[in-house]
Amino acid sequence: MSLKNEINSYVKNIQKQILYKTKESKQLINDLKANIADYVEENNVTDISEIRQCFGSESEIAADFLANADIKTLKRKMTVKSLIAVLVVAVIAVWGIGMTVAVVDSLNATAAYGVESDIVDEDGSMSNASLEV
Amino acid sequence: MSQQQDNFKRGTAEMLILHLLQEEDLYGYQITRAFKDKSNGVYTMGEAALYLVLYRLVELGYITDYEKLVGARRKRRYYHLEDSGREYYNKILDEYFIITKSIAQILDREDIKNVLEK
Repeated sequence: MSLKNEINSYVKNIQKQILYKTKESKQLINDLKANIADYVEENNVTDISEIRQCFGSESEIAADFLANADIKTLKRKMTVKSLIAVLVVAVIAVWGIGMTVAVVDSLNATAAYGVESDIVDEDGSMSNASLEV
Repeated sequence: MSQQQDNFKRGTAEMLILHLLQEEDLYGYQITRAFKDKSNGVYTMGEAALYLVLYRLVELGYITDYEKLVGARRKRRYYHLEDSGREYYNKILDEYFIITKSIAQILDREDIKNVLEK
């Protein structure tokens, strides 16, 4: 893997480990990319381990961000995330129930059943059997 | 790095960033490098922690940021100290001296008191 790809994967891992996408986290990722580029240029970096050593591991940077980020924004993000999760579950549940009802209805419609009945006329003779559906 | 050192840095980072920006506009990497170089490698700060302080200072209007093109495509974000930031810097610097002096008095450390009086 080339250094450029390794740096991209390093930055993506940080983004993943930050968990919440806020205005600040997006800005941090951009600034971090620029800083890494400056560092690579100034120090003639050839290996990703040099970047990890200077900037810290992905988890260290993410932990640093979460420890210093505005707690109110993170809480709001957490709430929004939970709300979205609940909504998604609810939508899936409603869709599931709807689908089940639709399937049962269609099965009932196709599997028609009938009752054969004999009608005995007053004179005792049996008329033709009818089929009630 | 101990938790105490981290907390201490968090409390002083604003003041140090504003101090560095008094001389000239700087970009993020220059600030982290200045911290490291001027403190002989003792005062280092994580990128995330540093940038969060910078974003907060921008939000409060004490500093402003602008982008400069480096090379063909790459952009660098520079930070500039505003007048309100200068005032804020002087205020927190005074507070820092008052607090540090009181701590030195409580600890009864003449060496710290002497440094502060210079």
